[in-house]
Amino acid sequence: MTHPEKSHGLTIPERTSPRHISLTVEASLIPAFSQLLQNGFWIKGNVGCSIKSFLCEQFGLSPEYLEKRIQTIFINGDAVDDVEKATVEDGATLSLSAAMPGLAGAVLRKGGYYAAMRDQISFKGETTSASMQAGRVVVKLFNMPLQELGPVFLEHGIWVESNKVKDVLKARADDLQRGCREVIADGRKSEFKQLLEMDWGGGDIFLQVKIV
Amino acid sequence: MNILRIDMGASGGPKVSVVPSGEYAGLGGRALTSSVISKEVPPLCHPLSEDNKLVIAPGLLSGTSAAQSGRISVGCKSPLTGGIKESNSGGQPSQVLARLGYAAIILEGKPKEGNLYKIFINKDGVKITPDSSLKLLGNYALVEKMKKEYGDKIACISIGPAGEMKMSAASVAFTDMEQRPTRHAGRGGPGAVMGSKGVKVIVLDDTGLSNRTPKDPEKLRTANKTFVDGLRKHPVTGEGLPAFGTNILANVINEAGAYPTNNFLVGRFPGISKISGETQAETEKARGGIPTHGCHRGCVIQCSGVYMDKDGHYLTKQPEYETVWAHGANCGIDDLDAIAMMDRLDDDYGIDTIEMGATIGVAMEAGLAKFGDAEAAIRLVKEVGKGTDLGRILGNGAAVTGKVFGIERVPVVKSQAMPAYDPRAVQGIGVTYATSTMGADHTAGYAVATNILKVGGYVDPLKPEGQIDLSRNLQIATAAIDSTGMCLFIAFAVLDQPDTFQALIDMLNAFYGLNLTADDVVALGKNVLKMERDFNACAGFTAKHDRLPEYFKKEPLPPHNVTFQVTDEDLDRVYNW
Repeated sequence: MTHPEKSHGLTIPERTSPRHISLTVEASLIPAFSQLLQNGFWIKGNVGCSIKSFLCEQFGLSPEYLEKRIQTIFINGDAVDDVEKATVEDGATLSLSAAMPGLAGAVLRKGGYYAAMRDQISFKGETTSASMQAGRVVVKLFNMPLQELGPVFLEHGIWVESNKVKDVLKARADDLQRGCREVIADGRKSEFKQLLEMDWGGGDIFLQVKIV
Repeated sequence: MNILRIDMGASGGPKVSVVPSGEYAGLGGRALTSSVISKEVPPLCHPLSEDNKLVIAPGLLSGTSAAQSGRISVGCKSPLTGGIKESNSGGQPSQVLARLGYAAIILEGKPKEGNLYKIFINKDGVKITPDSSLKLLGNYALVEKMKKEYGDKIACISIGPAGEMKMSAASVAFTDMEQRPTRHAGRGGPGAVMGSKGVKVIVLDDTGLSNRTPKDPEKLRTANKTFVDGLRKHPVTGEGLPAFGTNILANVINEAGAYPTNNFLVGRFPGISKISGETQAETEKARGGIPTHGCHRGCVIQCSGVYMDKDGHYLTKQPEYETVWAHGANCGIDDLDAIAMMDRLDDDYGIDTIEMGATIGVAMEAGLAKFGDAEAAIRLVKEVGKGTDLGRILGNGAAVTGKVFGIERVPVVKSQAMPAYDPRAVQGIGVTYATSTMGADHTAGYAVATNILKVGGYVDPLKPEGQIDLSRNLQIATAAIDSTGMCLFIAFAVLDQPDTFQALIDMLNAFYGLNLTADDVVALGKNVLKMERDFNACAGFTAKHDRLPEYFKKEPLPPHNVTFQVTDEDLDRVYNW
């Protein structure tokens, strides 16, 4: 997977006042960031292409993983059946999950036998746009993709609401204080405690979390 | 295998008879419970009268070495729906009861003197004793008392105060591997029927007994290995469910806009990540709990767990998806600890978590508490346990509560509360909610193996009538799986892996020396549904009862803004086969 900001030479407008926080933590602390990944983070990339193109060609996801592991996909809450036809547009929310249990799981599964049972919420915009352009996409990771892709996205960096990040850091402050080996805020080394004391303001920040 | 009949209304006190299975030979689980109810219970009887019966039946492979064989069915005429009911549960009693040699326990009659009884069953026989000291004990305290009395090798089937008070949402509790009363046959109020029979607890002890002997032990061993391998290699049964439990569904159903929130007002809950299966598993790990655990011995899937409180002390078993939804999003509550506390209280009082959560949602809509107020929700559950006037209303379910407080938006079918999938977003599930013989029930059309079973021949799911046909076939397949007594979660692996399905049939054949085919299994499912449907018709149910509440057709559900669009004419076709 490539760095979102370096993907395929995209020209992406810079933030006027970007804040960049990089944490290096023990592996056992990665689950502390789970809710951020479930709630959704955004990444930059070329949009107007298929889900398969977006995830595999731009972010290095293996086609086999997409086909076999990610069995349940939503675009803006619509259940997707064909990853080669469903288009990722600018501002879209793309949610990735493994196969789910039960009838509901079977019904929501991509291209599944029971897809007709959720016809009203199936993704219908299956035409790839004529041209790709730079844009941003909200990604939500659930269950197995959360465990398997979450650390990769965190290492390469995600854009997420700053107040949500601060809430996560506060909620696990004691654990992170112990297990956070390095804190870099806007390019400068810092301490975890100082990070919590900073005024984060509003807006989004670029968060990277690396494992020791 | 014998049937243990106990006439609780016999003159001179309860009378025990152990009789051969007779016409019920070869049946197990739901097939057995529904056969007994349809043949022996007058459909128009009052569910709490002496004429109703409570049938407790292990599965066909319970008490053997077969994996996932520990489900147990409870059947009766339901005090909640007024129709036939089969509610099933995990836990240890299924295996123990089968090892004791019983295909079923049937509680009949009604004690005239109002005594409360305990029933002890071991290899030497059955002993029934009145014990007033058990009155209104919670299930946890009750089981502890039974352990002191009968030792720690027992398995218990019991009711809490809700069952004694004959509330329509009362469950029958089954102890788990740790002898905690955490597994429940909750739907439809079987606990109230057990309460009406004056039975507080059935204590089972299989000391000195071993597994049931198969006709062909080697064939059973081989088939079981194939079956287990199939479950372990499948991503749902081998990875997803063990890692995150059934609540793995929360994020996905929420993303689909099908996660009923604030009493089915909207289909997406903003606080979902705080109560998801992923967060629940992390919370359990961080507190020293267990996110991967079976509900009975012989479980390979291990979709349950142990939930600890903030101080690291046991609070309850890992709340299931339906419970987290019912007490969580459906009431606007995003606090896992509060949800776990309500799960504990439900288990202790002996009440169905789905019905209770749906009822509190209706109560919140009525203004008894605000959506999102976890403390108020806990107080309402405690009203049920205390049996206050308000508690007795709530303990009789969402339909009664809606009537008492004048609420139109009550998500029930045949007076049973809907589970955690909004039928407007997933309309095929709505067909099953509407037409199931059980009332709104997500497990009634759960066995997604219909395409392998070829139930009803090939169905093109893309045709408009596909949803009707699919729902019918799902209900048939589910009735068949319920009749084997196997855990329904095997269905996903069976769907994807024909060899796993064949292994299931091979296990049945190896144990009983039969030559069952998939067609036989389908025929069994159809027969069960027909019996249940006929019972309901005689009890006064018509096509008009196979409907969702009107507001599902009128109120669009955000975020997709869809209404339930399946026509009444199509719903009426479900039972045309």
